[in-house]
Amino acid sequence: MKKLKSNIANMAIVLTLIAVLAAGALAWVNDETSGPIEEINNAAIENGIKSVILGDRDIEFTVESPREQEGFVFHNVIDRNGNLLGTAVESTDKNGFGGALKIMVGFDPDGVILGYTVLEHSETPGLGAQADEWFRQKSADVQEQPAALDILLGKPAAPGNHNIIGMNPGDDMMTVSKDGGDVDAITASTITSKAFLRAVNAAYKALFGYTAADAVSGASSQN
Amino acid sequence: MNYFKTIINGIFKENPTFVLLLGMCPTLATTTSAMNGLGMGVATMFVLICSNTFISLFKNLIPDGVRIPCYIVVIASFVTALQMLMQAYVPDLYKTLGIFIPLIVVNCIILGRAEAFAAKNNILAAICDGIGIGIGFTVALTLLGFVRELLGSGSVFGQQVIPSSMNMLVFVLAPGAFITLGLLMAIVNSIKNRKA
Repeated sequence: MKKLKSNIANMAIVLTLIAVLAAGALAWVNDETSGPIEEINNAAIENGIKSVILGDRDIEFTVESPREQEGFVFHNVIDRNGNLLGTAVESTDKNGFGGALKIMVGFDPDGVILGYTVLEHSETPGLGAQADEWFRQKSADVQEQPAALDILLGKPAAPGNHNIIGMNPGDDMMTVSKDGGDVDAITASTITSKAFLRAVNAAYKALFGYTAADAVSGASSQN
Repeated sequence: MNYFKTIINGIFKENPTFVLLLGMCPTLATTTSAMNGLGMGVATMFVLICSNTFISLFKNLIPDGVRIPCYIVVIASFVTALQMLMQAYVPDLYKTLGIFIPLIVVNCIILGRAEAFAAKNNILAAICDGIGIGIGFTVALTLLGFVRELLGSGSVFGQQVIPSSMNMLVFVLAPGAFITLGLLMAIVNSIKNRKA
């Protein structure tokens, strides 16, 4: 078969035909995959709620239907007697190192952090992407080696604290230590750490109305 | 036309990364670990084979004047379909590679092979070219990711082998990508020159 000539009619018809075919094929694929994708997303949320509120505890619980407000999503978790176990909050900070950072953080009724999980991120693998683990380790468990420069200068390795589990953003300064806060940033990933803590603070604020970090940043309103 | 030769050609003589220097943007962006490089390579190979097949099949139906827009529509459709399929059936891989998948659309390897090879050859040769170039790209990306992961995070395919205190962070970041790429290219070229 000879190649079609490049006159205006041929070009318009062929391009339109290909675009229509492509749109049809994509619509079909979208139709086929939208079900499984939604299931996966729902399962991720459900597992997230369970892990940030209950952790390893094995108790019967029910999740109330989610409540959305100003970009946050709240999931109240109650035990079988109807008592509030805690609230899992989906919170997003737009200014991670690689883009938006979406986390879910669980608070008990007093505002103490029970757990967290990173839902979506675009952070650097090996650096910012460690956020998923970094903020839950106990300082004692961390096999952190002192930095080479610190050894040269004879500085002892300061035991870092980057475990936010058990902290309460209402009482504790949930900012990186560079900014005078109580949490050590991920090594070489301060921007990710700041974004993460902003998301945690925002979640707490959306739930309880204030944070300890507010008082300070309000005084020096630059940040 | 020797189909086997076409495949080998794509892996060595016309390796898209080390010899043709095509598709540098995704190459540098995704190779922070060997696994990411491998995943990106395989995803690109899939799109490349599909688009090569389609374009070779319909090469006579596509007038020259609109060939580039047609190719791009075809490539973008395959990429979008791939993204949705990955999201639905391999969510773990999608979670690590998700943001890079749309980059395949603008990967000049795919448009380049469509233009330079698929539009001029029969369908079998086009498929072989897709496989060859795809493997070449995958090997290059995996190698690059392997070196960067080993030096930058001290691990091999996620397994820690060097204590994390000895990591050279720069290799995970963009400058390390350029340094590694340059050195690997020098090695490949010196091997090639010795042979010739």
